[in-house]
Amino acid sequence: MEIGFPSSVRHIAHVTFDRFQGFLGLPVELELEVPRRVPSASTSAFGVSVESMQCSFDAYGNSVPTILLLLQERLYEQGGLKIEGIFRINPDNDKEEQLRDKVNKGIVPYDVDAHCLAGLIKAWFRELPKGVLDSLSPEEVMQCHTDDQCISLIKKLPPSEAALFDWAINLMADVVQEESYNKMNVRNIAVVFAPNMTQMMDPLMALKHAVQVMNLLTSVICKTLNDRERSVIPSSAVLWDGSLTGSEGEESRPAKMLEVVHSNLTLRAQMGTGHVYIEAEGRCNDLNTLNSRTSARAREGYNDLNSIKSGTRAKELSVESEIVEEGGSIDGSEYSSSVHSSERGNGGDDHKRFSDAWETSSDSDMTDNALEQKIVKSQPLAILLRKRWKPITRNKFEEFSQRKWSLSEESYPLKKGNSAICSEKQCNEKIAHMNIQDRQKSLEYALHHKPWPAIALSFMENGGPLKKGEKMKGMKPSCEGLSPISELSAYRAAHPLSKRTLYLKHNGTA
Amino acid sequence: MASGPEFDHLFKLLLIGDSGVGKSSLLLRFTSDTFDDLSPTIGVDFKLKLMTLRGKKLKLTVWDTAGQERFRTLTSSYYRGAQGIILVYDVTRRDTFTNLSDIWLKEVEMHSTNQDCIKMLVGNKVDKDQERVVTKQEGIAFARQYGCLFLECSAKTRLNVEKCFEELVLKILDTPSLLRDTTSTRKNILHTGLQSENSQESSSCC
Repeated sequence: MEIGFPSSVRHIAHVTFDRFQGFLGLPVELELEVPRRVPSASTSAFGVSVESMQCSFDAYGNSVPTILLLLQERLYEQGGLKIEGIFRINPDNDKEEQLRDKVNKGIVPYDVDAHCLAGLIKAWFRELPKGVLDSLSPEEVMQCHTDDQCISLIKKLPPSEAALFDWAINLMADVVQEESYNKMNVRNIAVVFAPNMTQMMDPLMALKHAVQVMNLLTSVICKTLNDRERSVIPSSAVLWDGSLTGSEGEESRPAKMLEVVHSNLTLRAQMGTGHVYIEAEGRCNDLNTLNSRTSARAREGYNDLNSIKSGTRAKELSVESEIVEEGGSIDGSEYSSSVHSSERGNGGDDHKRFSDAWETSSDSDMTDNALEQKIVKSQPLAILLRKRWKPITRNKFEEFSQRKWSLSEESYPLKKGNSAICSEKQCNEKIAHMNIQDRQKSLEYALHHKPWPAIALSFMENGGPLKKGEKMKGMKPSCEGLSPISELSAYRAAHPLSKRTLYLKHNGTA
Repeated sequence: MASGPEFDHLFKLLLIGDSGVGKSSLLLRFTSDTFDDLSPTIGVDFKLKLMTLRGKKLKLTVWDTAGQERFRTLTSSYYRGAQGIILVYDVTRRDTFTNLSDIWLKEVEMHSTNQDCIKMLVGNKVDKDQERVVTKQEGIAFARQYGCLFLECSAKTRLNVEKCFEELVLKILDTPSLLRDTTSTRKNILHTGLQSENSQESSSCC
């Protein structure tokens, strides 16, 4: 066969190569075939100390080897968390060895058995030169009985081990959260992980120690799960009062309020006015104590909504959407810096970047700032996003909505077609014909049911009449830009390394 | 049992196989005829069962090992002196079947001290017939290739559970070289830590 000259040649990208950075400027679709940098200073990803490995930040701010994050990401992507007996079941030995070879070359392929991924994560811990918990003496571990003792013991870990441990604990907590699918309860996951956390020569001692470590793990996982349960966002209720639009006499700027009621905190995201502020208050059941601009009413039944919509979330999601728009946040450090920039709020370019979406209220004092930071840190985006996909939320909402209102389909313009993707214009048209109550309901629907924040946000923007000539202040992401702010970016934000995933999903090849 | 030895033979049996194939469930079914959702085994567990076969009183110590890879170095020390080894796989998961030849038989070869020790291949979970991926023929072929006994069973429905232990024990009884040191003189068979446990056991049943 004769091969002719190439025709219709186009310049697509300028790619450079150097031996430190590898390929630069490589189109993402070609990236798969090219091995990444070797994930550690040595030629192996296993049995190597953390210090010599390339690390990235996970969603909780732990610096852990990138290769672990990749394995975790693939595991989550493939729905590994819902597979029965994940982390318990041994993978096929040959397949695991094949995957191990690839991982050592810095590649984590897509079509691998989830058990292999889980097995390699365990193997990675097992083969560390020094066990993650080896710096704790067996006696110390043995003397741990209460949860508090366990927590204080864990704090004694050196930083790199502590980060690894925290990553592993969160991984295990993620597994336990899917217990109804994978049958891995706290004890089960602790049993299979515990022996990989320590190294001992004497088998009998190792066994005894493994039991102690298992108890330790159980306590810490339980605590993590409790913290997640109690944390600000997931268990909070959103109160929103739509009747306030333009009710401020002269001021016709849309001013709406998102209220989050939590045991210790009240979060307020006041929308449209360009202010976000978070205040500490006692439990705000008495809603008269809320901001004088609003008369937000407590809605019955919200307390049993395990929904996660809140001001903070809206705020964080605005950060997320920013990330999506920029499309550049590939590695963990960039990701975290974006989040931090939103925390900082009052300075420099970062501030400017977010300013047309949100501003941090300038009159918030130090304690508020500290509080906000605490909240943002205690509830990283990843949890929010992951929580969002919990089926229970949806079921609960449906149950709740049927019980309370039994509203017709028309009341929920967003529900049609099982998707919130409709153009902004369409949305606006629909809203224009609705009275304020219906509007509110559809917003509530969007907030509680649909995972897309932008819908809710743009609803709010459009909630009130604007004076002629007044520039609309609002969220950048519009309805039209919705698709990126969906599951894909959820993954991306949760797993900062998944740039390639995003690409593949867009193209339907994954 | 007022007079004479408590048992005629004491056998050490071992259950090995991948994690989650149902080793502990099998043993639980055999010793106490119950079935439960069990946690993964930590290290090694062991249970005693007295049975009478061919008029002989037999005491079986069945060692249930953890399938978790981390425990392999630990569990390998329990192969020593076993007269019977039960290799368990899950008929609904092919990996557990292939890993038997890839991993577990090699472990047996490496660590077992009884040359003639009887191996028994057991395909568990046949109650899940819909999900079955390893056929009975494959099991038979495997057993023939590696010289094992073969049975398919279900710890859940108790199908063949008793039988699998019985067949194994009968085969052991037929192998004279394995019967050495199995009579009631307990020395040589059980070691320090276990001896006390064992004597307690015997005193309680006498």
